[in-house]
Amino acid sequence: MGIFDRDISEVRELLGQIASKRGYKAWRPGEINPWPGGKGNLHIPASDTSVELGPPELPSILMTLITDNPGSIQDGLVSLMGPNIDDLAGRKAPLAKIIFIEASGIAEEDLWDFYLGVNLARLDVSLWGCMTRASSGMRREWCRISRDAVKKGMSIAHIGAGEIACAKRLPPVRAVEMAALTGSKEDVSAFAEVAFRVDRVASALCKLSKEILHDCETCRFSDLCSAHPDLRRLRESRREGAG
Amino acid sequence: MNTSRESASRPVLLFCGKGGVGKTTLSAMTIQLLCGRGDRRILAVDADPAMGLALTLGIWPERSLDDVLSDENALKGGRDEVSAALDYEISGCIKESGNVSFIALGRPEAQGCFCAVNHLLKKAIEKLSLAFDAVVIDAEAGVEQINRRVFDAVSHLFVVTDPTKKGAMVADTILSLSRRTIRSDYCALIVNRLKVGDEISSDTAAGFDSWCRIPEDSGIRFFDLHGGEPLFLTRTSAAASIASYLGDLKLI
Repeated sequence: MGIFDRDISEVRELLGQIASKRGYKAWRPGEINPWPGGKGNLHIPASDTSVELGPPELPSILMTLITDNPGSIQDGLVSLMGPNIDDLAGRKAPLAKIIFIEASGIAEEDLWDFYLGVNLARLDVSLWGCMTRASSGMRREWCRISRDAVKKGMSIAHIGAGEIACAKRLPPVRAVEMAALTGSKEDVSAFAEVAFRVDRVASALCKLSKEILHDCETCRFSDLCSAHPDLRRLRESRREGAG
Repeated sequence: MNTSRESASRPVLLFCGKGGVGKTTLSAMTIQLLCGRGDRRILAVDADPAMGLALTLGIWPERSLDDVLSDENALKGGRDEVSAALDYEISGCIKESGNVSFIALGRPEAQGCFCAVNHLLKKAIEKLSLAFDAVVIDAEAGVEQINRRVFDAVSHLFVVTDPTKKGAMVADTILSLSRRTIRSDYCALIVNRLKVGDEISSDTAAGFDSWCRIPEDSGIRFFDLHGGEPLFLTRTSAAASIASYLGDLKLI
């Protein structure tokens, strides 16, 4: 299950470059105080909002990257490149949120269902004073943090801990890590290319998993499946299965 | 931790009736009057494809619910994915101005029925109303949205009519239909645009929990003709009448 391994390497490299230029903050398990749960991720009106991350008018990238490579994910780690919520009070900022997941024992044919399940599990993250909205295909995330939550000291670490706890409820998940960027538009947009590729891989995976007949000649993912070893293998096994 | 807004029971006010009776103006006045208490967050819903409430309040959303449905990239995937993306798209349709958060049905361009966009409107009201202290909905003229159960439950159903027989007939039809299609705690008749000498039969108000009369107001006619700041509406004599009535109902 190395389907996103190339993307993980690329994202790590980009994160390293940005961290070396701008510095970073990191929280390990045990360093994050618990934050109270919300009541179902309610809308927060602008008049109650202090901080907005990734609103529709600013760049926003959301990526979930899965691997079965043991030890490649630092379980429970939340890292941030850019200002934290208290530094952004009264402002809007772009957002990139990257969730790394290590999971084991997932058959190739179940990979799409797992990927989808992980993304849907994220929707259960409900933190007091925080509204999160994910766009179609989970490509963007828009987050509002209320004035009250900022006053009480809400941090990206709390958002990360919520994400990690939710993903870890899924049985095959062994480790979860989250990296966030809230700095410049350029920093966030640097991930656009890899995010686009991840989205294409996920869409191809979905198509291979859901469709019975595969007409590769007309498929818009044909180039991707031919170039990507895991997708190519999955495509071959599907073809054999279809006779 | 909790906020009062999450736990409070909130008024959901629906204005409906025949076209041209003043629903939109009364909705706008009510929104302004509710805002007069500065600590209240109001969700204003323009459920009329004519989008008159947007014009009256001077709030123009960049995106309507109909735009969401017209955007083939907005709601893709299976049921759960679409459900998740719906929250994003609905929040993206809200235009915020002070304490008012405004959302509009939009003007469906495609031919055919409005079922899909009305269903989206219903979802939007369900999902958003919990986050606000009050919700004011300006419905489409006539009975279509009432009949199609677009508004599942409201606290106050205000059926607006003018002194005409036709207006009274539509009001009566809405009342009858609403008994089957809307769960409402309180149903009131508002007889708007009354001129000196207009007689209203007490039968007109039969079946309603209460009714109120709003006199014809030259200030509103001036506003309709020339436009102006929405706050102007609250200074009219009609606004004084509706304010008094809403006060009696403990809404302001």
